[in-house]
Amino acid sequence: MLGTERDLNYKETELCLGLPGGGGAAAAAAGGENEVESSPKTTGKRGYSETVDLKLNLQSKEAGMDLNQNHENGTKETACTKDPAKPPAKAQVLGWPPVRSYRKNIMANQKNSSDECTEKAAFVKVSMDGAPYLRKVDLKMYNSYQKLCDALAKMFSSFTMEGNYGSQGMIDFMNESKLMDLLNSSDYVPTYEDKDGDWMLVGDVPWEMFVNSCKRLRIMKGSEAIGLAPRAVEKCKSRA
Amino acid sequence: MQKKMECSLPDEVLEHVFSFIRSDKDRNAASVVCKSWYEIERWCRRRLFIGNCYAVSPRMVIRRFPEVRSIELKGKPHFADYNWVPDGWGGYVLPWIVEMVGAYPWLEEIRLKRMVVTDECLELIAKSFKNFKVLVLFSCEGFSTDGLAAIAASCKNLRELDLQESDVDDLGGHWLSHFPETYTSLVSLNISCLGSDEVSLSALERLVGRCTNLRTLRLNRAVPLDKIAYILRRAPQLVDFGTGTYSADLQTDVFSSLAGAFYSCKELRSLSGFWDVVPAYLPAIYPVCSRLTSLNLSYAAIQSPDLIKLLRHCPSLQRLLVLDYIEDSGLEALSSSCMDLQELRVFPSDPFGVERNVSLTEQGLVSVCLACPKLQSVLYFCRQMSNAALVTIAQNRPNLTRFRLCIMEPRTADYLTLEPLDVGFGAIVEHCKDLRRLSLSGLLTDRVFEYIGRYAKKLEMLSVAFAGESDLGLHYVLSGCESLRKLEVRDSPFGDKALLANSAKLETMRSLWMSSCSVSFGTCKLLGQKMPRLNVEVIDESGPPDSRPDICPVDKLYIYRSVAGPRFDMPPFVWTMDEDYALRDS
Repeated sequence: MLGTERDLNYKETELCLGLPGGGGAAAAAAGGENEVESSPKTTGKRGYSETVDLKLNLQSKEAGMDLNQNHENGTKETACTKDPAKPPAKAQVLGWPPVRSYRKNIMANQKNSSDECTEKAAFVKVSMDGAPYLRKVDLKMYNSYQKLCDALAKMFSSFTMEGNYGSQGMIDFMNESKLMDLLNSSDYVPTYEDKDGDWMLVGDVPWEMFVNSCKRLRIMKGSEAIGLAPRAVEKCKSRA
Repeated sequence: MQKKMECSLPDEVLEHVFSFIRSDKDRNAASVVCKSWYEIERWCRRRLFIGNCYAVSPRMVIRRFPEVRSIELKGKPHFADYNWVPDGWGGYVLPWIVEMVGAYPWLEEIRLKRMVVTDECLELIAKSFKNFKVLVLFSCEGFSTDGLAAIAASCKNLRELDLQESDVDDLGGHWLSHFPETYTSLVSLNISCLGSDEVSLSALERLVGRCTNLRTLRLNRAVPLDKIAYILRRAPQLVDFGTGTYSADLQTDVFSSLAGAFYSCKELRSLSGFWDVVPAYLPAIYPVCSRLTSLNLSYAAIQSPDLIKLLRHCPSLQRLLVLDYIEDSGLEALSSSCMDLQELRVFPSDPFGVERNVSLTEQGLVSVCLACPKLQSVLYFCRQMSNAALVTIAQNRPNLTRFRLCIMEPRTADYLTLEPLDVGFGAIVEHCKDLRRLSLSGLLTDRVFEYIGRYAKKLEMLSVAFAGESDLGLHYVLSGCESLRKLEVRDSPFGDKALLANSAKLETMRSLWMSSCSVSFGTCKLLGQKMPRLNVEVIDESGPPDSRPDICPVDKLYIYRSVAGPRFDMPPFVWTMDEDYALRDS
């Protein structure tokens, strides 16, 4: 019965890295679901100078595992690696449990979903002028413009973004000349489409308001964004 | 003396014989018997399944199979469903469409899963394939309702349009009006994923009314409850129906109209939808419940007492998808009402909450497994589990083929004994000899992988997270699981030794995904250099991996076999390890 067997019954096993033997028997070009099971097995050592010999001494469970490695290059963990075995703090594990983003979005948008649901995702698409692909970010993952911009900078690492978000965490849109300076000096600035369908400069409203009204993000060239500035200043002034 | 065996049957006869051979495996076997069989077979293969769109190039496929009518392609790794694969990774279908437009003018069916589809692709499909019949976009993204409008307008023979769980830019419901008034051939329409509040109800109603062969109709949230009755009355032949919003103010006339409409649908076997459900309207479906074989309530916040009442009406149920509001009491009721149950999926209502919000434990699953003799497929989210429960499940349900358990807190031990759950999962693989798919969770040591390697000989797909102690775990799986095709691992201490020792195994599998594990960059390079038929892709959003020492582990690793060589559509955060890696600019 399972659980009583302790002896693994393995002898010292010598395993080698080598190319699979034989000619190409993997004839199924279509890679269909049920391919011909004719894959070749590894046949002994190959005469490559970089062949790595591994000896795994597999002892019984009682004695604990003892792996003798015989490597050319050591693969010990060093300070440069993060230790994956350290248990993460609760609720800080990114993306766990595995719930499809489709499901997350649907549950978040339901009118009578449980109020206990602590994570309602706010995914918005992010495009960058010149980049051939779109990204998506969950605005709920960030609590300030600075954090969002840092994340965007990482995602689209080829652009530099300058933003002086000030003590309130917002760009000062009331000062038009300051704004123009900012736009002229930046390669790219983040802009967003709000609930009204207007394209605005990111940073014009308090963070929470932004999260609620942002429908999508676009990182555009500073020179183009200048066209948005007057409207941004206008809207800002009309709110004041 | 060697006798030369010649095939004396004429080609046409062989072709006719081959037309009865449907499975890819059998067709592949026939194609290697001799050269003439290879030739005949390749000219008459009509249906292709390509499990990884990067395993082969469109040109290679077209060169070998010139007369294909139906193609199915899968793109991104499975973990992309949970947003664990960065956007922009790949999976673009456009190159395939472009090639097929020229080579397969009579293509009838395209089925895609986890691929990026643009409006340009849809427009190409619409105008190029004159006999186009089936478009299934499962969990795809990148297109809008404008692309759908093109399909609607041009595909006169369209039978099936299924957008299941795709991420569509819904610009409003007017695309439905692009189906011409003369168009009547629709059999299956699934638009449940469309998120806009607008839909052209009149276009929808007219479409449903004139397509008398409609069997499957899954609506989106924009369709209000009080319109369902009208739609159902125009399509009483429906077999599979997905409601839109199932919420309205309580009005008796709306209710009785709805119940009457359901009553007239004598063929209805499958229901889904039920967004924003108002439980008082649930009894409207009672007239069809006795015949229902499939019920998807997994987006419906229905509490256990209402669920119990509903399930008592569904003795024929074979498939149930539900939220954990069902609780142990509801699963108990399920186990006494639904003897024919084959598949159960219980999803979490509050997956990221720390506190338990529902009374759902391992007991619910155990009671269903004990009582339902035909149960084969399980997906279960819960917060506690015990080895005893798993052993009970394994011993009583040896016919399980899919077992996916998600204990929501990583590394949770057996709550009764505080031991790892190795023995429990070990029992599952030992007793369920036909198990094809397994997802692990909870506290697990290398021992569970020893069991899996020893017993899970039919296992094709394994998902691992926060499990194992050393490379031995990975080694057991790769060396023992003979049928393994897909392995996906995250946050487990598996590294170089096991991967290098079992590198040949990787060519027998479709793919391997490892993220937040201990595979070093040096090993990735070595694998890439030594295994030309594997694409070894390193995914790292923090910068080029060669800016760090070789011994540093890579963030994410995706290895898949391919006869097409490395791909060239990678975003800047994906690097392919091959012989040229060191020579290319990073």
